[in-house]
Amino acid sequence: MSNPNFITPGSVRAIALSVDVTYLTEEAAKALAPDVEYRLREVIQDALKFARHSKRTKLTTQDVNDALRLRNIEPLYGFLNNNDPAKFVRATGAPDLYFVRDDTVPLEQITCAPLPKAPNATTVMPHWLFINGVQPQTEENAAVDPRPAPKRQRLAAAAAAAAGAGAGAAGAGAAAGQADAAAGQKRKAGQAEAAGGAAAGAAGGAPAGQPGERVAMPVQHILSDEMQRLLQQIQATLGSPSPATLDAGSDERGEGGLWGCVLELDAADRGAGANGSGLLLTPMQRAVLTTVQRDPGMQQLLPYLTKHVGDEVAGGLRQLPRLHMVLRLVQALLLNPAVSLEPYLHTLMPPLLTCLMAKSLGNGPTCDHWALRDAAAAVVARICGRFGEPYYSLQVKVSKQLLRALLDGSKPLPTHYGAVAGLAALGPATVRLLLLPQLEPYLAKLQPSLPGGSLAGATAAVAGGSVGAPAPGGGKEGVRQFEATRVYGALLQASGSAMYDKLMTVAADSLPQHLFRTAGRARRSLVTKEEEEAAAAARQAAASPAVKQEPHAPGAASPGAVGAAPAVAAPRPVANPAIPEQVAVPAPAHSASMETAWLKLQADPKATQVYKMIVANPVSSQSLNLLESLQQLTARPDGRAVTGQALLYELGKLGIGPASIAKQYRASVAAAAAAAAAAAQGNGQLTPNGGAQSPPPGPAAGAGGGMASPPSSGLKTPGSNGAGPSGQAHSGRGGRAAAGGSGPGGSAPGAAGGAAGAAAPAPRSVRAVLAESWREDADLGEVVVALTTLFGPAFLTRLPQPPQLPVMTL
Amino acid sequence: MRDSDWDQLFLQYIRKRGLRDVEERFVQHVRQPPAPGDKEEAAAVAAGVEMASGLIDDLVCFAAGHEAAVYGDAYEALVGWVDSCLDMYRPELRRLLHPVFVRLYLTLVDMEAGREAAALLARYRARVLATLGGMRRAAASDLTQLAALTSRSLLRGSAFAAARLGLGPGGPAAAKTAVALSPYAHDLLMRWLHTGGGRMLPLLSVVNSCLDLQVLEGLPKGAPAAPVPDDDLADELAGGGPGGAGGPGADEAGADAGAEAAEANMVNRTEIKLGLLQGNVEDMYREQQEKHKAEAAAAAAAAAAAGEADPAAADGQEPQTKKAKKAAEKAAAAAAAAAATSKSVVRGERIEHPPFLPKLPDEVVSAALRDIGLRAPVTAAAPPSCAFFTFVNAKQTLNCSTFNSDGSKIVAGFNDSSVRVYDMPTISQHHALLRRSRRGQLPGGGGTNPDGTPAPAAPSADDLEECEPPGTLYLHGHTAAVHAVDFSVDQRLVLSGSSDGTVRVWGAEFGACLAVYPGHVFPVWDVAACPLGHWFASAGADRVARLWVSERTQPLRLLVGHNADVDVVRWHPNCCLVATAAGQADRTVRLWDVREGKCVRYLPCGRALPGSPTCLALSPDGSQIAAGSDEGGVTVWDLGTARRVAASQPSTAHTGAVWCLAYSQGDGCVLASGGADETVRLWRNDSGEALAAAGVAAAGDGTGADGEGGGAEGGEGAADGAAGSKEAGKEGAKAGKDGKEDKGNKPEGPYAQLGRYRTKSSPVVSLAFSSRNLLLAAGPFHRRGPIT
Repeated sequence: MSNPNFITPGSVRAIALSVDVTYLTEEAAKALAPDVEYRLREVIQDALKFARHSKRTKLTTQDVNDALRLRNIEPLYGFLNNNDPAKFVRATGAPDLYFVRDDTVPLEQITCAPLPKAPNATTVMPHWLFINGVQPQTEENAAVDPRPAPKRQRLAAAAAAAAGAGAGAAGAGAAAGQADAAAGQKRKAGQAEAAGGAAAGAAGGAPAGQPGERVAMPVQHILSDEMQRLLQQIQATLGSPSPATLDAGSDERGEGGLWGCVLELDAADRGAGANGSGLLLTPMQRAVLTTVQRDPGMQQLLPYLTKHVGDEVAGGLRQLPRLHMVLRLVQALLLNPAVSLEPYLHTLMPPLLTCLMAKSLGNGPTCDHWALRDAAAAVVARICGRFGEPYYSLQVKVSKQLLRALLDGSKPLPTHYGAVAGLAALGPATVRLLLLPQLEPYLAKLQPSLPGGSLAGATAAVAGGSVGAPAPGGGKEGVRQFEATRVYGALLQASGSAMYDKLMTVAADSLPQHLFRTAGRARRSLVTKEEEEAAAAARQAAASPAVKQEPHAPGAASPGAVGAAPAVAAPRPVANPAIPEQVAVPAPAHSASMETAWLKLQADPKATQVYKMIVANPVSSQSLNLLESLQQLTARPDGRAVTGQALLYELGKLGIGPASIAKQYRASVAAAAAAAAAAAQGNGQLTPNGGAQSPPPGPAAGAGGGMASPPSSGLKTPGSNGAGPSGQAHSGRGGRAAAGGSGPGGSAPGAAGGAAGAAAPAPRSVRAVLAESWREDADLGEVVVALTTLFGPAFLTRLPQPPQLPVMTL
Repeated sequence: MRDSDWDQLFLQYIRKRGLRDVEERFVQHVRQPPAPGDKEEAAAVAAGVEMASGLIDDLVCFAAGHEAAVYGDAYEALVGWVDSCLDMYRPELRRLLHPVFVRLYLTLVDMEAGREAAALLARYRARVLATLGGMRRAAASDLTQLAALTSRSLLRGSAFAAARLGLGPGGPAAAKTAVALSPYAHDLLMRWLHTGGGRMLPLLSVVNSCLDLQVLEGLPKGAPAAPVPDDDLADELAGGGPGGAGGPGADEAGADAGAEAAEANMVNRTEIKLGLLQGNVEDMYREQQEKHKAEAAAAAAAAAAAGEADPAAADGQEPQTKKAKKAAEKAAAAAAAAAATSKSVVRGERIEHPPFLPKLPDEVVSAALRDIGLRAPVTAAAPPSCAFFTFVNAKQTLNCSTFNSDGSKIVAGFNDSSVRVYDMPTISQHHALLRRSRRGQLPGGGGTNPDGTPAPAAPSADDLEECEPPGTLYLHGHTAAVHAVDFSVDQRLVLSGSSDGTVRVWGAEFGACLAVYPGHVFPVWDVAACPLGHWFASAGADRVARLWVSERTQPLRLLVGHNADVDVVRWHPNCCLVATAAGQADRTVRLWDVREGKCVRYLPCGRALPGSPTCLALSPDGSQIAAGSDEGGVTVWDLGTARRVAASQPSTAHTGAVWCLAYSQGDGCVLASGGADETVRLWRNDSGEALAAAGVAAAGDGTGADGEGGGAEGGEGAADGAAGSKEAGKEGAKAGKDGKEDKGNKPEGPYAQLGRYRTKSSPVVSLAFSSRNLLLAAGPFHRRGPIT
């Protein structure tokens, strides 16, 4: 027999030692041990009584204290409300003896401790545990045991649901019920009931969960008669394609029109667009869609409508009109202010993404599934926009999925198109963040498929507007080429609009300079003290002709036209906002010779008077005249030029300059971005004169079309200071011979020459540039250059044209 | 016992036997200090002595000499010790008492100490009857035989005594009674016997001679392999009631008819009146209904007669008018007869309203009558609805709660010694406000007026949550945890019992303590107000239940007899009886007569109800009592026959303690139980259903007869009645079918489980049927899963 005692004499001795009793005899320990144990058991027994009468199954320290009080023993202090589990320590010398370390706590620490937060008041929350013996599946009640019912039971339930459906209701309800019965293997009977509508009763009342537990399934969704009929009407009208829409399906233009009317659903009752030739909705369909969009009771039907959407997409992949109708339905639901789609998003998104990215939609590659994809992209983007706030991960998930599809080389091109369209629809920021970094490798992969095997061909195709139909005489190759062209076009469109957006924003924000580091860097690296004057002159000279030529620049040559921009854009923006716009010019670069000239001039009362007059009121007609004359003065070959230059220099410090230059400045500022792009082309084939203009190697070439920064190689030869080509008229007048005899009006060469210099100082790969294009402080110039490199000049046509920009700056 | 004691004993013994040589040698041996080498020898000798227990017995008997009184004292000491021992081991140790007593008695008789023996016997019998309410049949027969043996000569001739004294054919070994003890109980016993010194010697000898102590490893209770004798007692007692003629125990009872002549089950043979009081609310309601019906029938009959008469009058023919008059008379007579018969159908007997009980206040009666009229019928076929009241932020401090009759107020007792009254309408309103403000915040955003200024702020959800929720009344006064609360019958007083040993009465409306009843010394575990008011009962850790009248601060009756803490006390519906239950060492449910304070029913839990009883419920007709235990069992007894009606099967029983039980109002067709396993379970009470069906059928018959008698227009009543009885029949058939169908997972029997409903994470602390038969349940919310 083992010793029934838990407290051994050894324990007693150890305890005695712990309280400094060293003279405890063996016998005393032996006598004490059982007694101690008996007392302990008594206390535990009483404590358990207290716990039991407190209807608890957990013994607390409070119970032990109560038990001690019951026996007139002083309770143990310090253990109440102490949730830390006691830390047991092994007693030294006794192998199996543990005790709680009893730390000494200073009283001040307890008394000075901040008061704990007041606990929440105990209160009572009522709810229904069960009603007439059946437990409603509500939030307050315990969840149903998730264990699936045995297989046989489930089969029976499915059969019952099917039987109920067959016997029960008409039309849709029955169909849904049967569908669910078929799916019954996977689902619980209760869910079948929800979808089965009228067939619900059969499976629903059955007790679920463990035997003996009576739990009502949560989804006894009762639809009123009216709602059921409305649902049937909606499904009948939208579900089966009407002859009209079927016809439309074969007609691409018609498809476009269809989508147009979906987008105009908002204004459906305005009727103008809807009645147009493109509209192929029957009046009935239109009425139904309007109902869906307007009826506040639509929430009731949501589960059924989302299911309808899923079914339609699953069953109608070959029938574009059906899919269009589905998108319209979703769009209408989205527009309905009384409907909260949130709970059904998870079922709605997959069909939509299918519409967007399915491998093949419609019957054959020749049909216009592109429009459908575009439309789906718009809807997806709309959903992301509307529910992005509460479900911030929604857009992330969607865009991730799109990107993955795009990068997956095994996916067909239509899928890629859908992905690009979806990303583009999600907004310029998404495009910059996700699409642009992938652009270069993707285009490289795409290139072989393009017509002519090159981007240029595609550009031509896109530009030529031949995207409407597959290349004639295609065959398989032709289809692929066509598809690739579409993808290419979509990419171009996406990146173009992304940059367009950015540029417009930036222009509206009056061009923070850091966004155009490229040009600035080029300039900084090239300016030298010796050439300051030349620079100043060249600046004026170069800028004006370039801008002047803008209007004349043909589309393809526009790079040249805007090429001047970086030159002027580089200087700091107008320092003094108080300076009126007519005379606002960039502050000139610091120039020692000008400073000295000005110092000398200050002795001249006439000059100071002029200066003061202009400063006092820069916009008065007198001042303007004075400024213009000063400007002309600088062009004079005699020594007065220096006077004029010095005065202008000093005024320029205040941001005041002649009106003509101010005008140029404004225009050039706006054109800055495009100029940067043009700069990149300076290296390219488009600028035949570029090579002559500026020697290709390195920074030297960067005379920066009118940036007035002489190439470094030309430091010793003022004649070569690169202001030249584009501004040759002025520079000629200024006596600073432009080195290159560039073609008259050859804005392009000049710009190219300058831009080459701009791009050169920081030779970053296109990919790296694009990878950072999403950053707020990304160098727009660089990005534009990079994109232009990728897409060719056609890209530039997608950017805001210079004439638009000055307007923006207003 | 020290060595010197032994030496003295030995010396005395040797001298008495006249063994001089041995005495000399012994003295010599004792006087000389033991040589170191002798130690082993001494040990060996000691071992030898241990082995020769007979010698020791002789020694001990000798030492005790002829002091008969010592025996009596020793036995008293043993009884006292056993009663104060740890609860856990007390049942085991108590099993020692009977064999020890028998042996002691015989020894006393053998010593020719007849007087002491008789005194011992009388005391023993009294104690057994008082504390156990009866005794086992075997024990009773033992006592009768012992009472006959009054002298040594008789002793010699009795085979019974010979066997008990070890003189029979089997020798001393056959005289031993096997008693199984757990190791610690054995250890306790041995230590107690050994530390008692010389006083314990006679007891030691008796224990050694008459008991075969078997030490079994493990906890005291968990040994199904070795049947616990005490449970036999329970079963025998249960089977030996006065109604033993029927039921499964009938054969047994017949076989032991002889033994029944003894006092066995004396308590349970007491005649008690279980009927409801005359003029109780249910009867009043039924009478009212019948009156209405009779009136209606009479009116209808009269109308019919008049209708017949009218055309007759138009015709101006007298004989027909006479006929009509006759018909009217007939109808009236039939109606009266019907009323009389239906009165005779009143179920069960009714007892007179005892003079010491107050009458129900009129407003209570009228409210009750109204509620009965609106009461939802609750049967197995139409299970009740349950509203669950979850205490949030209770943090394990909720001890008890109770509802008023319509569930609009909840009183809860907390561990922090407060009693709180929750007014549900106010609280619900507050919650609705909270919900609205929470919802309002979402669409509103920052609510601004059209002119751009921020809208006047409605109280925000946070504010509302922060502030003390309204509708809670705190009753402070107790100085320790409150373990029981109850509403008085008029819902105006709240009773509470606390660990500080007092019962307090509070005004539920204005929240002040009205009276303190400091009768209990130890914690009060339960309090129950009399269904008629004025009286209440309390039970506590001092093993006594007390009956109080609210105008006195001293109890009127002490209900003494339980061997352990009285855990529950409940009133019988007729207010003349009180039921109590005690756990741990006692494990019995008892019924007490209020007038005499005597125990009238003794219902041991036995094996059918494992664990200690934690809650009681009496059926509304007063014939049955249900008890739940802390191991999840629910058992129902019939009070009249003291027989077990049903016990929950382990497969359907609660998996944790059962904290509360409640019968549905009216016929008590459904019993609800709730417990620590976070479920509420419903059980079908067939006897209640039968009652209900009988009632319906009787009503149907009555009205049917009425219709027949009334002749012409059978009246709606008849149709209703017929439909009702038909439906009842259908329901019965359906129930039967259900029973057959559910054979697989539902136990057959009178109390089959109807349903099991899990709460989210709240043990069910209290259950009650409101006066309109809505099941009300309450429990604290525990975040961390089920507590088992």
